[in-house]
Amino acid sequence: MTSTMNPSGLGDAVSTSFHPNSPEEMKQAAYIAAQAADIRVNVQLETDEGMTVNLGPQHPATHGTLRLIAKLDGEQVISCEPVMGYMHRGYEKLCEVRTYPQVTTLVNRIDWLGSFANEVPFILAAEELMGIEAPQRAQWIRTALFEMARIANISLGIGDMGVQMGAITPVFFAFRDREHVLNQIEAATGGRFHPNYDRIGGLKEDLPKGWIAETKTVMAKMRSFCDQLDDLMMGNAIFQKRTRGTGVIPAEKALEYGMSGANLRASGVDWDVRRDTPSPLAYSKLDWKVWTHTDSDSFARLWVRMQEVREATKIVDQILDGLPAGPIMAKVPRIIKVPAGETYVSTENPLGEMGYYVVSQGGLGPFRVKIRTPSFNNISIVPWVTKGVFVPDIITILGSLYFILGDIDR
Amino acid sequence: MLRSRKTKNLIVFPLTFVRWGRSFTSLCAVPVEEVAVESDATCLEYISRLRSVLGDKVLEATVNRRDAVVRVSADAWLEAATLCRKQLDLTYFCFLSGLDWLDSPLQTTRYENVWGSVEEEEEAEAGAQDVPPGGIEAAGEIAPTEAAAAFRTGLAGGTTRFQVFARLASVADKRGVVLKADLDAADPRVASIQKLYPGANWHEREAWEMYGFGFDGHPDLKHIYLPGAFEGHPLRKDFPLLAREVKPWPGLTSVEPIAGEVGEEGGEA
Repeated sequence: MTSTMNPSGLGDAVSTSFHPNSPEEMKQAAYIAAQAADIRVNVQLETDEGMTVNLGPQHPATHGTLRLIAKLDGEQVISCEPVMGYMHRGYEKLCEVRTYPQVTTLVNRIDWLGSFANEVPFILAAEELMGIEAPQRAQWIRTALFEMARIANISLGIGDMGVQMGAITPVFFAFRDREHVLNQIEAATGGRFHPNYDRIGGLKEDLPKGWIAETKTVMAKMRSFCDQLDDLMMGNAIFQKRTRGTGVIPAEKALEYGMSGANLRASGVDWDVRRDTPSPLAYSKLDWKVWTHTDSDSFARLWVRMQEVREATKIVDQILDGLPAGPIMAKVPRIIKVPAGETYVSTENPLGEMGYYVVSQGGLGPFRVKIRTPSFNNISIVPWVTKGVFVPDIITILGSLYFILGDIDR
Repeated sequence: MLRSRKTKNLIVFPLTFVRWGRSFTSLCAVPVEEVAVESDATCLEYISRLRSVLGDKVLEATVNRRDAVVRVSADAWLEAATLCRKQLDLTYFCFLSGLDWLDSPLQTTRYENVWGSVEEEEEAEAGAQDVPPGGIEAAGEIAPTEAAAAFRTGLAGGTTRFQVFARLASVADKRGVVLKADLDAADPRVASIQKLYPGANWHEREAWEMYGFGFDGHPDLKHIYLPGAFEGHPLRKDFPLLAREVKPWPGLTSVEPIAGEVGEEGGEA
């Protein structure tokens, strides 16, 4: 066993006992190091069983501080174990010492790219326990902002996928166009990333003047963004080569592991919480489609996400056209006190099924909140799906599973 | 809890009490037969099928929304999960976690933790008005209900301090089953279901770490979030939340009155 540090991680291509001496070898080493920087692997040790390689915890390709310990045989992965907890903030414990309205501030930070979507299921759970329902207008605005959070979240995810495969342009496009959506969210809620706009019984305030017309132009922009990315990525030969046929997850496996969202639908399971569970949100009154793909590979997951963004823009458009008039806040007591009970409410968040199991004992704050986050389950399949793939495939598979670290660690 | 200076608000609130009362009865753990009229037929079928196989091991069952909440004895945990997976075709693993029914001194469910003790409140009233009148008045409107006190162990009941619960769902039926099992307080231990649902692997690790539950048959029970040398089980109610021990949460007591609303009814339009 040697503990020679070798930054290459390129398996058989370079042995770990490589010590550059001549200028030529130095040049070669620099080249290898530059290549290795793509995947940032540090060779820790070499044993008879293979090499143990550490990916992360700090790397752009890991969306935060996820660490992967991969055992390699040559360039093939024998096992790959995610290590998390670098961002664990203990929200479930903190929820127990806060009042219901204060919890929304916390849960905003779970999936920080689609913050508004995190608030909604918790608010719905509290409303259900209290036996109140927000007025229709509030529900429709909630649905619109929920879908806008989805657009902001997933568009960046698709762009980010490009970065991980060496294409810089998609992420710039994503950041550029996502900005328009964030501006609209900010205009309505006052917060770009953490709106904290949802209240038990309705919303903080009504939409500002001119918001509807502006949002419509933004939705049109987002549709053209989708077309652009379609041309840039989906049709790209390199992209297809690297994503098609890799990371195949059969439907049965996906269900057993509790995968949800686009990851599940890309495995051919026609399941969408928005459509399949009764919810006071406006989805049942709108005309939209749940996209699935039967390929179950990395490409399918990206493809389904792309369609979801398109579908979300259509949902928002319909909401803006048919937004009912009326109050945005139901009559609720000044101090929210939720009667004893327990319930599980989930919604289809940008990353998948997000649910809150809220147990109330009739107090000002919840007794117990179990936060079921989509990424936790989505990532738990990584050890299974990366078995036998090659090192660069880990990156594309992780990128296509699309997770937010805050959503895993919460 | 309701004292003289809040009599004004007493008149305002009976309607709210009626509403809460109703929602409480609909959510409270009652035997299946009693709520059968409004319950979901598929969920009732789940319960009856689980009962027919497990018999007495199903301790209590109820229907909540589109979930059948079934409490089984801890030794039937794996059997119940197997039935759900193989017979009821609940292929989708949603989550697994734990519950600690111990009454925690830190909880915001306690009135005095949020709004200070009654003595403190009176002191503040007698002295300078540094406690915002809106906050205290509004808090006084809500009397702790006796019904809430009786509801201590959630849906489908419970007899011990710890409970493990998991939600399994069916994509075809669009329904779910919340399985619960009471665990021994001294040695909380239950069979692992990760062979049936591989997704439970990480959830069990989390429950082991956060609650100290043992899962027999789990291949690799180790820390998932916390560092390896961490001692204690943070989500247990007796685990101190250090930040709150050091400094009381300021956000709870400084609710400022909203202009124009002081002295008005408690409701917010």
